[in-house]
Amino acid sequence: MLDFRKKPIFLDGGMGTTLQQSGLELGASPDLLSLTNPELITSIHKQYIEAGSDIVYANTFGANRFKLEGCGYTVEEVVDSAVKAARAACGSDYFVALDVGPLGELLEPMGTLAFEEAYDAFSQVMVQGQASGADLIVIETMTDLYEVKAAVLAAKEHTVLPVLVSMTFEENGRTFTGTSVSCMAATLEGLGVQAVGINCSLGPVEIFPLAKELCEATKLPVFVKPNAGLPDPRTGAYSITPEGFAQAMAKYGELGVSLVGGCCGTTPEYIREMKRAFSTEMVKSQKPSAEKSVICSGTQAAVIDKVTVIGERINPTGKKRMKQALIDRDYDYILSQAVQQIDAGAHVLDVNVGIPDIDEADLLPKVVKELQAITDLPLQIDSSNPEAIEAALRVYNGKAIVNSVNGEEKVLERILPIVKRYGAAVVGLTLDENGIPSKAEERFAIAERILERATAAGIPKKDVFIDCLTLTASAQQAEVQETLKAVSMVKERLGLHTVLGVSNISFGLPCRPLINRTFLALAMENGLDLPIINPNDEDMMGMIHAFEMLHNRDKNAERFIARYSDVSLGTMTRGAKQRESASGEGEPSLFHALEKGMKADTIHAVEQLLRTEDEMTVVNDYLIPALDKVGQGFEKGTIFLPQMMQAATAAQGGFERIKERLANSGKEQVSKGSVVIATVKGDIHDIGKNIVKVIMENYGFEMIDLGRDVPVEKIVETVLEKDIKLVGLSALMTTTLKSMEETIIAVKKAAPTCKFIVGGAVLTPDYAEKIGADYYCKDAMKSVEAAKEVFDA
Amino acid sequence: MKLEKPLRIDIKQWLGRLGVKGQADEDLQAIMETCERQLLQTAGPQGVYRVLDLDALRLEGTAIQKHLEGCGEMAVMAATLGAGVDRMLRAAQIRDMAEALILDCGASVLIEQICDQLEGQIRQEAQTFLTGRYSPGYGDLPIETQGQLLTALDAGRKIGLTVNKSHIMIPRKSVTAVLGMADHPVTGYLATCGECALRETCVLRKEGKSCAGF
Repeated sequence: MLDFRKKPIFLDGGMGTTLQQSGLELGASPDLLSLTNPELITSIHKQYIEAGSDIVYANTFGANRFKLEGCGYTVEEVVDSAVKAARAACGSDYFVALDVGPLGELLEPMGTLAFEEAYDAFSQVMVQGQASGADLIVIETMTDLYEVKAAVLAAKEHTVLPVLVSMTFEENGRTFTGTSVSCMAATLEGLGVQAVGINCSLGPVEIFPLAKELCEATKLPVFVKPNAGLPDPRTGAYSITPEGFAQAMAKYGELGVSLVGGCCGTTPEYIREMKRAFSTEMVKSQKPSAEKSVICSGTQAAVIDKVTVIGERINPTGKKRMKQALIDRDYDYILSQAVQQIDAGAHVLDVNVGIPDIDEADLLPKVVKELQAITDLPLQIDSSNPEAIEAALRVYNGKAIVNSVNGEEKVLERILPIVKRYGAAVVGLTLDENGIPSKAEERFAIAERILERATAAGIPKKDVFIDCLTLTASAQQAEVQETLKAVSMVKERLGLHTVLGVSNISFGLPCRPLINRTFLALAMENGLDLPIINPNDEDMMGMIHAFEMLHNRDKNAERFIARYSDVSLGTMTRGAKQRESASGEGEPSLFHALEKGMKADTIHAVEQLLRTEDEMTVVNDYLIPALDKVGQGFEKGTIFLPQMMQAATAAQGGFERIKERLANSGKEQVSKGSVVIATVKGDIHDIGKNIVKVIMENYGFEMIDLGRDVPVEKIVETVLEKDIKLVGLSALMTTTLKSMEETIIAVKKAAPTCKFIVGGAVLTPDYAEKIGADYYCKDAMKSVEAAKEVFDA
Repeated sequence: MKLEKPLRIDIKQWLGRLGVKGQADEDLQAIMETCERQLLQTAGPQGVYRVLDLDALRLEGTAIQKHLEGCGEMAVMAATLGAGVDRMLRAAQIRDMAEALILDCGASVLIEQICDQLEGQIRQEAQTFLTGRYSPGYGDLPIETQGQLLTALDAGRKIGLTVNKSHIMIPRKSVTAVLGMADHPVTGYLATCGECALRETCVLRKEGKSCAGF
């Protein structure tokens, strides 16, 4: 058995490099050599063993179903022969690692490969690796933390082998997809891997500061496999000699790094020299360990060493418009709520989709995927449904917070193992079967119990946050102080971070903001770390920034000054300036505001009109005629696309106000017809489609946006299910026009009367006709005309 | 390798892509300035190139053959603005479609500027005569060539640039190109409209211009 406490453990050097020296052709797959020339592969492993490697990486780096497609061999065959070729060199004295590299296709949201598909592909490799006798699994040269997560879950759920992960960073401390060292450490420690590391891209000198950061960020053993310096861009030759490499590597001992080897450009000679330079005494027995609470997305970590704001707006409770958006799967609305909170300065976003009769286990992971496509902020998964929590945590990229468990035995039993499995942090509410205790001491006792149970479940203390529960001052005035007292007890005696939903305090009282603000200040002074608030409330955010400054945590008041230097009291508005009228006085005309693309003024004008007119009148007699005028200007060439889009965005703001009002009053939404819109399978260009969507929406059409890279079946299904009369398709590549044609044929077969509007840069009117589309639309205004024709007929 | 960002995004090209004739009005100018700051802050331009024998890759189509006529070797290059720009563009489409459009077009101009810079570097290091850049999807060089170029450059590993099954490069704002190298002055060859895959939809062509004379 491999003992990671033994230091140092020597890994091997480059396989590709050594193979290229043996005459491997450019672009040829080295993976097949395990089958076609296993002796060569074994001989390279042998050279590394002789040079002093304890572990060799089998020749399986690219052995997955994507990279091997069309090669004539199965993944199983390639993995099996590679592991056996390594074993032939190692015998039972040395260790064979199943080497798992990137799949070669980028995962959603950046690429088109689904997380679940990646998981499947990795599972196939892991299963065979174990069956063929690998001693451990190394997932390496990764740049996308999401892909790493798919691979780690596949390894953990299909094998019993130790799992090591190393990612590839650039000098700025980030991978190509934006993962930082701290995000990697927090996520992988949570997922329960045995060691984390850094390999490839840079030489030992450049990796050193990153390895230092990694050692400080995790308790796990750390390993490094640098390149032999940096390559010459023209020849590809690496810059460091074996001796230079060894010298640079010897310094890693001081950091407490446990496993060392080489990547591109390194050969057995490098490993031999390194081993000579790397004496055991140089490895510290203990490296500094990490006790900070960190949560993260795939790209951004939030360290809970300051007041950390959790934005509460993605929650349907008491919000009819959000409720409706969740029922309609109107992701744009949900995402717009996220974007507002991000812009307002939230650090974490709470995600709650709980409404009666909704399949939370289906919807919550979908919303999580949508959110992580547009935000870097970590998420808080807010649900009491264990299936929904698990489904959401599984597809979450990073380390999330789960909100929540409480002191009830059956809740703890059910949810804590899920939190542990996916390496999340968890919020514990101080209530149990008997409700919320009134006394602080009793709430403290529940907190203690939750901590004890979480620790027993393997969740580190730093990842347990306690919510002492805000009660309404109007109903339970005496207990406000008990909550504050409980917060301070949990913070001081248990040393745990604390969470509170703040605004509940003022329910049923006048002038709620005043109470909320005051309570927030008191709670923070008592040790509240993670307030759950509406970050769009600038008074609350201001309070937090002032608090941080007064506690000397915002050094030199830098953050405070950056945020408030140009704000005058009384008009606490800040952030991105809306396009507003110059005067700001009088009644702005809707026509003027919309034409000039002034969103705030347009919304204001719509609100004014709604005092005297009903919603449909505002849409038909004001918004649409104004848009028509802009559209005509665009046709004539007096208004250009950016101005038209500004007008459309302003109209969108006005329209949103109308939708909100209709939702709140329970009236039917405006709809001049439902239109399905999508970018076809294989294509991910969606800006054109989104422009069309916004403009058609402004004309009152209900747009069902299926997104990009949409499979044919999904479009057929939606058309049938919602009895759709019109579908809009977009494709931007000559290679994806085929999907457009396939979609039209399939839909027309299932729903012969359904019409199609199509558009995209490479499309022509002739081609559109040829593939069976009813309307070729060169721009968004043409789509509106076509839709009018379809629905007015 | 990491590439330097330019100080400004070429405004003329940018307005052209937005379909704006003449100058930007004051409002548009202000938004473009904000967008320019965001883009230059977010972009993490990376590039890679390699000098290869002419027969190292299978380059189909007559236009590329003409382009490389008289050349002894070729430089294959790839450049990208990186994943951060993709993420920014996704969020922008939720925040404000008008800004998203302006950012998207700005990013397209910026990647061309980055390519100019990489090309400059290649010219400097090559110490020989080079043609201009020729990219897959242009003329009759199939877009499918994209993957071949990226594999030859090991672009996934070197600059984080990959291609999906539909031959779309990810990150989105990326370019690959081939430049002929010769020991005597070469001009390369720009495909005629007759050979071009985009001849039916080309906006320039509708206006009676061609990109060859751009």
